[in-house]
Amino acid sequence: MTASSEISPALPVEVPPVAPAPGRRRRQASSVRTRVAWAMVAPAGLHALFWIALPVLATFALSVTNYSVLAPLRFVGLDNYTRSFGDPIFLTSIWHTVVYTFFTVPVAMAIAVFFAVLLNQQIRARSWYRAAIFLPQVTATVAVAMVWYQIYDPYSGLANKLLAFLGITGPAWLADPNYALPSVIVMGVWQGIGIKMIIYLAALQNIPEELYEAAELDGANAWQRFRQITLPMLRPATLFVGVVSIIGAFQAFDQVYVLTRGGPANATTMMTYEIYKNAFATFQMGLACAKSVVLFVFLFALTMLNRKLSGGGEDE
Amino acid sequence: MDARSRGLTRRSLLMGGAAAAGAAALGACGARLESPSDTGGPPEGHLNLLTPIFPGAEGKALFEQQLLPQFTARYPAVSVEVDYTTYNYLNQKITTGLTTGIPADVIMLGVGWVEPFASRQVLSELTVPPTAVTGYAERVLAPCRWGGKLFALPVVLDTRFGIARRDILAQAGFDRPPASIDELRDYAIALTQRGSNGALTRTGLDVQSIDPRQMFETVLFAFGGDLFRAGRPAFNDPIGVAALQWVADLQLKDRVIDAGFSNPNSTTLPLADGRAAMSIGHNNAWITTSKQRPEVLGQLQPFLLNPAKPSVFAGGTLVTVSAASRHQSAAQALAAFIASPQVSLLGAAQRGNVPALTELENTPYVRDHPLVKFGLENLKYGRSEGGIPAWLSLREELLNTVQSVTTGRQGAQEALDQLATVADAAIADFGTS
Repeated sequence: MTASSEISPALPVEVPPVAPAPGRRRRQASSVRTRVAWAMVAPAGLHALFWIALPVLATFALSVTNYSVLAPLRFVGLDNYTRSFGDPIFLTSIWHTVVYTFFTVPVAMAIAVFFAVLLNQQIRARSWYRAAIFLPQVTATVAVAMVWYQIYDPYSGLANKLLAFLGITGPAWLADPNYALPSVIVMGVWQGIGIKMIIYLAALQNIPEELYEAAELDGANAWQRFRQITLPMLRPATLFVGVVSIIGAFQAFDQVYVLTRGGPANATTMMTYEIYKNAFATFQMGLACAKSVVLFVFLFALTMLNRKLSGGGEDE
Repeated sequence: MDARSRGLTRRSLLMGGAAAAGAAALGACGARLESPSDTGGPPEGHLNLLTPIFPGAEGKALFEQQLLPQFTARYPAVSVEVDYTTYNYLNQKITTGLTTGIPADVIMLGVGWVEPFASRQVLSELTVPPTAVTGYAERVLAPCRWGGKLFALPVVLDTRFGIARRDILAQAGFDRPPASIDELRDYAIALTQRGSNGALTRTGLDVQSIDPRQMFETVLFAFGGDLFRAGRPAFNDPIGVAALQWVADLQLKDRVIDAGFSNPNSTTLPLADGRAAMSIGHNNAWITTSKQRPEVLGQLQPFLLNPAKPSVFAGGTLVTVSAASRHQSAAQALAAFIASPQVSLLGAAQRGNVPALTELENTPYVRDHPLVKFGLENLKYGRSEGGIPAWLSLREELLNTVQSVTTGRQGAQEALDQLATVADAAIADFGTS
């Protein structure tokens, strides 16, 4: 054994850093990235699990029980579904929901296109008009409904005051079963215009200007340009707005809750309001869950329709 | 294996699948009320109180600065956290509490709510001495009992009866309020006024400024009818049908009032501004009128709708103790405090309500508010809604039934018979669930 070999362990020895093999480095980096990704996704994932997935699954599970909060639950099979479809008020609520959707969605879309085209022009205070039309969308529905509640007051409301100015005696908008649902629909149309208009505005701004220039050169007038260029080019936006609005209309609740509470005589009750009533007014949670599943099926079908129409399910 | 056990096995399997799918569901459903940890001893612990009265900042200040300190001074080991809500949201609050297994220790709820909750062991029997209940009219205590046991104490009451504008009656030549149901209708027709265009300018009898369900019940009781008898629907018997038909005829046949003329949420009271000569109204019409038209306060005259069968509708707010409370003795003490004369009186004064204790009839608040005084004096004729555990499943439907008839969509007999069928099903449901 040499002296040098005896002292060598005490001496600082410079060992050149050994670089990990390229494959190992990539694996390490990939592992870190994966952990970071999971950490970043975790809050949203946990939220989705606890606040969306489990409640949805719970709704399905509870829909086949007689859960009533006050008593232990019992499995009842499809009884809640049978009861739901045998309940004339729930069937009425489905009909009202369809009627509400039928009138609010296309009418609001037509008005939204009109405003979008108008506000796509170079007019003064354009941004103000856009903001004003969009405002109902960002205002709490409850507040909006309270304003409409005052407008519809048969004796002191704006609606009947205006009609009286024209010599017409206005009806009891919300107290007369014949007028109550149309009144709720009018409010729904008014409130839904803003978001639709914004989407249409964005779509309008993507239409190439050359198309209009070419049409003008060919002698097309404004109406022809609108019909032959604008409307066809808005088709994808229309599809999106239509399906999203239909889904939103099926979930209408606040306006009914504030304006009419489903009355008078169930004249304005809708699916969401019936679900709420069963769950929180009559404590029939199982029945409310079954009705929620029915609503879910409606919405699921509409979403699938949206995917099919918009080609969302096709591989590009 | 017999058919029954096969069925059970199938059911168990299905339930197992459902349970696996929804852990949260099982958590919620399994959240039965826990046993209280103390059943005696000196009151101590932290209590949660859920109350639909003492509304707004004013109510909170009254309760937490004036009233609650009296309780905590007496029970220093007890602290109280108050959850204020309204009757509109009380159901949701109670439901959420029960579902999660942590309901408030002390819950204030309405008349008609004790039966479903007490029958399901959600509430604790109140351990008050017999002398504690001597200050109440027996009719007021009836909705607090279930199965012969006391589960609640009344705090403030909402009474409903006839109210007339003395000056308007006098102008039409009537020197006293109507003395029978028939006379009430005659008065209502005679006092109704319409403009040249047919628009209603004054209703003879305002039946729209209180909740339609409770308005009908007030008339039903005045007719001598019952909602339920021996746990079965009685509202569709000939008396009930006559009562609902009477209400509908006022609006559809006699045209005493038009749809939408008033509503329970209106900020103005037709009786106060002269747009109504009489009303089936609430005792707090006094408070509303004092804010709206104080100069006509002296013209308000309460009356029984049918003196031959005297009755007033008596709703109100009751205080109960949750069976799940871990601090039973403290919760019982808080409930007794909330039902005490000082809380009842100040709570009633804040809302224009009737204090529940008859001993308070000589207080300045009661003496100075004739409608409150009338309500309190006539509690001996008090009639209440509810009476069966399934009531909460039916009250919304009763509202729709009344509206359906008063808007001419259905006849009284048909609508009430339909409701009776629903009621029978709900009663059977509640019995088997």
